[in-house]
Amino acid sequence: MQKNFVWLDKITCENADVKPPLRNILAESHISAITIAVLLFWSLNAAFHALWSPLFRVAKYLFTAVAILGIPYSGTITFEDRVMLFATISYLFSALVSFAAAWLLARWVYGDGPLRSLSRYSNRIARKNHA
Amino acid sequence: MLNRFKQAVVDSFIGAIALGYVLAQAILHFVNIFASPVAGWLSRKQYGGLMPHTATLPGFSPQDALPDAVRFFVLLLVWFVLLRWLYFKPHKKEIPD
Repeated sequence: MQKNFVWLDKITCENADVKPPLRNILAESHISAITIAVLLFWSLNAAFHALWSPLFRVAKYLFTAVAILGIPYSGTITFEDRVMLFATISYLFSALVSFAAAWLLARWVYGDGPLRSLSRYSNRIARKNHA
Repeated sequence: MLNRFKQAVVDSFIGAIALGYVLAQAILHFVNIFASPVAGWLSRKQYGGLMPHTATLPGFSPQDALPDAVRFFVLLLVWFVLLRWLYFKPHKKEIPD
């Protein structure tokens, strides 16, 4: 018999010309799992970038407060503050969008959340390798 | 030759990794089709003061969505062609003699 791809063995087709649905192909070919992982990674990366500047500012403020043993001067909102706020909101939006995309894809393909889907997927891969 | 290459790409997961990455990119470009005009409008509003007053900046411009729309359609096309070539294969049943 001609060697078929692994994922095709799991799909039962009565008719030889039947093509499996896109959802099954994405699930069995590992494409959806990789997409979910990439989107989650981008989401985490964007969230880290979003929080980096505000956390840095807070840390700087606290260190200055400890160094001078008082309350540091904080003036009005400058242009730099507005730029930082704009960048933070952009990164937060990117993080939210990436996570939402990962969640929607995971719900559509696996019927579960992204983390649980990846966990189940890794268990399945481990079982397959063990066997 | 081409079949062996295809089999190698599928078996080594290179195809799945590439297609997964391209799909993720396509999804984000799709979202950016709607987000780019808003982001462009906001940044023009935010940084418009830095530009010389002689130049007139456009307000909300749907043309900002064009680069992301082109990227999305090209990526989706490449993704679908590759997916069809690598994984869309009807199940062939063994016919007993």
